[in-house]
Amino acid sequence: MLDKLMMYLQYPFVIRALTAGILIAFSASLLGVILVLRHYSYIGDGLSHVAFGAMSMSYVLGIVTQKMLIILPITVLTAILILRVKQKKIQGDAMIALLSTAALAIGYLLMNVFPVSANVSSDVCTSLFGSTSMLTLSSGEVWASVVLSIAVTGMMIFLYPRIFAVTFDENFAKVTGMKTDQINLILAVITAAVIVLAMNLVGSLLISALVIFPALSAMQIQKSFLRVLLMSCLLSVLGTVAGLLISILAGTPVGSTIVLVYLGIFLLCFVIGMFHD
Amino acid sequence: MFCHRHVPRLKKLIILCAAVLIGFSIHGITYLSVPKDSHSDYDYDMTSMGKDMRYALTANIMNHPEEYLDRTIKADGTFYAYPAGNDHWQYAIFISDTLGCCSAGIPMILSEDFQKPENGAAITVCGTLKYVEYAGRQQISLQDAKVIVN
Repeated sequence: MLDKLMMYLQYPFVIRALTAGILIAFSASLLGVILVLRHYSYIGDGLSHVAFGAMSMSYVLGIVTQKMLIILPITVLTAILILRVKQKKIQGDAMIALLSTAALAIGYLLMNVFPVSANVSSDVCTSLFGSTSMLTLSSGEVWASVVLSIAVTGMMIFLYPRIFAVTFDENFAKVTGMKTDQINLILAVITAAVIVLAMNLVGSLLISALVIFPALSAMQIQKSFLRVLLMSCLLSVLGTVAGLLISILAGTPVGSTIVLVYLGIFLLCFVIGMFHD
Repeated sequence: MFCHRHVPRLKKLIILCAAVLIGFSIHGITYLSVPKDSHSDYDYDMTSMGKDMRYALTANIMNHPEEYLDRTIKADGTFYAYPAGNDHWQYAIFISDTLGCCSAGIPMILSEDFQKPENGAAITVCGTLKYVEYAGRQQISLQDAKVIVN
């Protein structure tokens, strides 16, 4: 078993998968704590469905190789709509449900009505469940993960006090003169970028796990914001590495294996948290 | 719960984590190794791998051919022959993932001693990955492919 693992760890595509996996898990966990505390746990799921719809559009328009030109702007605009626009008639969770189901339906419909790709089932399988896309990443996608993790880390370092204030009491932050709209805009853009890239890791249906599991697990055993943030990063990276290696050795799907490892970590943290209390 | 004295500590910790991760990433992106399966006579013996790993390796051979040039492989999959113009036929082995929703193929040039199998036959093939010119462009192919119908 160890021999096999050491052999696989010499494969360049396994190293690329581990690299991108760790970076995306790190970025998603940093963002996840903020999103969970702001009651936007399901935004990952919603935005990934929107990204799926946008991806279908790129297939129909015949720009598969530059699909990010379509996916990223549409997902960013949707994230802005969800995080910034405060509708009186449609609340945040209802807005996520509305946009995500509509986008998923549009995406699937487009793929069926205009089946431009000969291998539609492969495209659907890959974008919804991740399939083996994690193991077939290009160097460009890994570089995108590097840039994204730098952006998320930079945001957390330079905007930490403001993000903290907006996360816990946005109205109070606004009254004190803080430009909360700008913070929300930055959060929306970064959230959309993380979701689009994380689709490569676990697929759009499992993306919420990357965002919420590490944050929820850390919250079971840590109480301060800073410690939750750091514990969340640690658990997220450990869970992703363990899930990826298990899936490679056991021949199980990458996305669902990572999510099940996260579930195991959460249950462990939950039990530890009970004894802590 | 929060005070501003936490900020410098957070900055240091996150910068440290980010530096380690970026260092690891640069290693990951530029990594090109020459692995060898110690339990096989071939550099890559796909017959001993899980189905998803077989598919991933095949897709990577086609997407990053420079990483696999001159390597010997043994693989099992489905044989296909398709017309490539001027009465010329191209042969390939197709390998699918576990669910069968994703497939990738490697073109083959059959060894002279070996007969062409039926289209769709389950085969095991071994050979060396080399660049071959098809329609004016270089394409990675399995040269001197020895095919056994399973």
